[in-house]
Amino acid sequence: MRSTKSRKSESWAETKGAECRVALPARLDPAAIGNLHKSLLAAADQKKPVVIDAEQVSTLSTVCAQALLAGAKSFQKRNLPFCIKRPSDVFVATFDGLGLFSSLMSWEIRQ
Amino acid sequence: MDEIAQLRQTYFQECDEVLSEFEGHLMALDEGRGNAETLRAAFRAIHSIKGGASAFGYRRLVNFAHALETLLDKLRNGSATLTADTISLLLRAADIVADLVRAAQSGGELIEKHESAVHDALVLRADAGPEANAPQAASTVASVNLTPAPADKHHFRIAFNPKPDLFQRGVEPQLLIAELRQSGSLTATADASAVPALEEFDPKKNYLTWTLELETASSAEAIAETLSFVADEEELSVTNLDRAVGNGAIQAPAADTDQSAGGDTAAKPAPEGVPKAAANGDEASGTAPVVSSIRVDLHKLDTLVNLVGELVISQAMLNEQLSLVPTDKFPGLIRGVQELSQHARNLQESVMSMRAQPVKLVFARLPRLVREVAAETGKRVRLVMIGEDTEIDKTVIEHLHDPLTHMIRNAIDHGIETPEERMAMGKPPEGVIRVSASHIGGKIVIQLADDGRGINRQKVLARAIEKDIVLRDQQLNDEQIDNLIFAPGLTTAAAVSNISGRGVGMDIVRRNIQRLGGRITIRSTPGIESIFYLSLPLTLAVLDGMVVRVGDETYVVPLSNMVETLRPQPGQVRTLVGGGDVLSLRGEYVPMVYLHRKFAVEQANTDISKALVMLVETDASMRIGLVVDEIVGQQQVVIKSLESNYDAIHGIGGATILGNGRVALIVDVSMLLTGGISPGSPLVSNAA
Repeated sequence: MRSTKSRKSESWAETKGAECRVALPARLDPAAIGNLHKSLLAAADQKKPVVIDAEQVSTLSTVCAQALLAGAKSFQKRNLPFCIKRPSDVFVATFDGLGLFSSLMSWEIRQ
Repeated sequence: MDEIAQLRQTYFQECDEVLSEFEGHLMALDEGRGNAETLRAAFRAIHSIKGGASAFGYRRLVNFAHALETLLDKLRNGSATLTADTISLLLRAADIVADLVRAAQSGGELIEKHESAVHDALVLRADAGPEANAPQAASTVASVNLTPAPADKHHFRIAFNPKPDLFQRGVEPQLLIAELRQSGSLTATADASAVPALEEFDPKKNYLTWTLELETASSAEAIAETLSFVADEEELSVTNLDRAVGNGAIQAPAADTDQSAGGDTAAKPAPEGVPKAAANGDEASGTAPVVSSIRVDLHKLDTLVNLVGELVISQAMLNEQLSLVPTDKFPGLIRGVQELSQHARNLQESVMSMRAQPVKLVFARLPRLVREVAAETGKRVRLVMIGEDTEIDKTVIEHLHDPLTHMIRNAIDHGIETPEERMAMGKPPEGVIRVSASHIGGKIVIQLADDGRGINRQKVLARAIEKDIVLRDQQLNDEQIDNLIFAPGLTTAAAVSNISGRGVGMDIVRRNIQRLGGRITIRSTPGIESIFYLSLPLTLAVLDGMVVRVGDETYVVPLSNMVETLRPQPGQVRTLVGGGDVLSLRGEYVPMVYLHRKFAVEQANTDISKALVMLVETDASMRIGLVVDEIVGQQQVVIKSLESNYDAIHGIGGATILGNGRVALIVDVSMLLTGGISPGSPLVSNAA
C-alpha cells in the first residue's frame, strides 16, 4: 500500500543568492503539512525575501493552504517580501474553491 | 465504558449502517436505478467512514477509504465515467472496507489478500480520466442519470464554523464544498482572519471558517444531510434565504461565534461581501434540522421494554380484579381501566417498534455473499431483494444472518446450475436468487427462492435411507421428502466443499429459526425452483403461547412449537422396555413427556385416558407428546428471564406473570428430551 508509508521529514526551503526559495512538491496532501510548516518556518528564519515555487502543485489540501496563509502572515510580520512563483492551475483553483481567492490575489504572483 | 470507547462503539454501529447504505447505492447504480444523488450519497458514506477512521487512528482503513473516496469524487463530478467494470470494482472495494472496519473493531490485523490490488485499481481508475474509464460504450452504465431533475431553486446561506480538530477528524472542507457545488450554484467565502503567524501556528489545528451561499433545487433536509456527514451540529447553521422575513435575512445561530479559535474570541466580523444576518429573524422556520434522530444505548431501551412489560402485566392483573367488580357500581373506574389498558397496549407496541430495525441490515450483506460464492462455484447469479425496509426486532435481525448465509450458500452450491447446464435446459445462463421480506399476520415472512434445479427427491430419499433417517419401506409424500433436507447429517452433495455439503447446514438453519420462535418450510418444483419460507416473530420480548394446567401449576408452551393436541385413545400409549412411554400416532411412535413427572408437580392427573397430549416439535425436528391436564387458552405473554431473576431450570426457557398475578413457567420444548434421546434419532420412525 503506497500511502501507508510515513513521509521522511524534510525541508523544501533553500537559500539561493539573495532570496530563499521554497519549492513546493506536487502533492500537498494532509500528510505534507509537517514538512510544509517546517519549510516555511525555515524560510522565515533566513530573513531573506521568500519565493514560493508552486509550479508543481497538483494536489493542495486545505490544511496546507492554511499553512501558506500562516506563512504569509509571518513574512508580512517580519517585513519579508514574498511571492508565489508560477502557481499551478490546481493551486489557484484550490484557493478559489475554498473562498480564499482574495487572499491569494493580495500576494505577489510571479510568472 | 469510557467516553472514547463509547464513541468508538457508536462509530462502528454507524459504519454498519453506512456500509449497508453504501452497498445499496452501488446495487442501485448496478441495476440502473441510480442517479447523480446516488453517487453523491455513496461518496458521503465512504467519506463518513474515512472521517471516523481518521479520528480513531485506523490508518489502514483511512488509506483504503481515501482511494475509494477519490474515485467516487471523480465519478460524481464527471472526471471519471461509471462503467459496469467500475461498479464491480467499487463493490469489491466495499467488501474490503467492510473487512477493514471489522478488523479495526476486533483489534485484529486483516490478512492482506486483495486489498493492495483493489487499492491500486481504484487509484488507477481515478487517475485515468473519463476516456480510459469507458473503453467500450456498451459497458457504460447508460441509465445513470447524472443530471439532477429540474426543480424550484432555493437559496441557502450556510455558516460553517468548524472546530479546531477539523483536520484531525479527517475532514477535507474542499470535499464538502465540492459536494454542495454538485447540488447547485455555490459561492464560498472563507474567513482567514483567525489564522495566526507561523510562530503561533499549530499545523494540526483549523483556524478557518466559511460562509457558503448556495442556490439549489435540493431541500434543506438534503443539504443538512450532506453536511451532517462532515460536521457536528454546532459547527453548522443552514439558513433558508427564501423564507427571509423583515429585512431579507434570517439570523443564523452561532454564525457569529468563533469556535475555531478555541473560543477565546467572542465574535468575529463576517467576511467581506457577506451581508450580516438580521438579529430578529425566525430561527425555527429558517434553520434546517441537522439531526433528526438520536442514538440511545440499547440497555436503556431494554430497560424501557422491561418496564413496559411490567406495566402490561400489572394492567392484566388489574383487569382480572376488575372482572370481580359489578359493572353497574363503578362505571367510571371500569371505563378508566379500559382506557388505561388500551394506552398500555399502545405504549407496548410503540416501545417494541423502537427496537425494530429494517431487515436491510441483514440483506445488505447478501450481495457480497452471492458474489463470492458465485465466483467460487463458477456460476452466474443475480440477487434480487424485495421488502428491505420491513422492520423486525433487533435481536431477531442479529440471529438471522447465519441462517440466511447457509441458505444462500446452499442455493448457489446445490440449486443454481452452471451457465452451461442452464443453457442446455433452456434457462438463461444467469440464475436468480430472490429474497423478500414482508409482514403477514403479525409475523415477518422471509422468502428465499432460487430458480435452480430444485430438490432431487429421489437422491434425498435415497440418502436419507442410507443414513437411517427414514426406513427403507416408509412412504413419504413430496413435502415430507423435501423437508428431509432439514434432517441432521443429510447431504446429497457429491463432494464436501467449503461452501456447503457437510450436511450440517440446513438442520442448524431450522434449529436457529426455531430458537427464534419461528418456523421454516420449503416448497420445491424439480427443475424449476426452490422456495424457503421463514416465518419469524416480530419481537422476542413477547411470546404467543398456549397456557396449560398441570396439577395446580400453570405452564406456557410456545405456539411456534405446537403441532396438534389430542386426547389419547386406549392402546395408543405403549411403554418401551427400559424406556418411557410412546404415543402411536398415524404410523409413528412419538416419545411422551409427562410434565407433572418432569417438574414433580403434585396432585396432577396421572390417568392417561383423562390427560391431554400436545404434539410439539423440537429444535432438532423431533416430535414429542407433552402430557398435560388441561388447556387453559392461547395468550400473548411477556417473557421474563429466569436466569437473571432466579436460576436456570432445565426444560424451562423463561417465565411470565399471568393476569391473576401467578408466575407461569415457559416450557423449553427442545430441552425436555436432552439426555433421553440422541440428536441423531430418526426424524420419523415407523410403528412396527
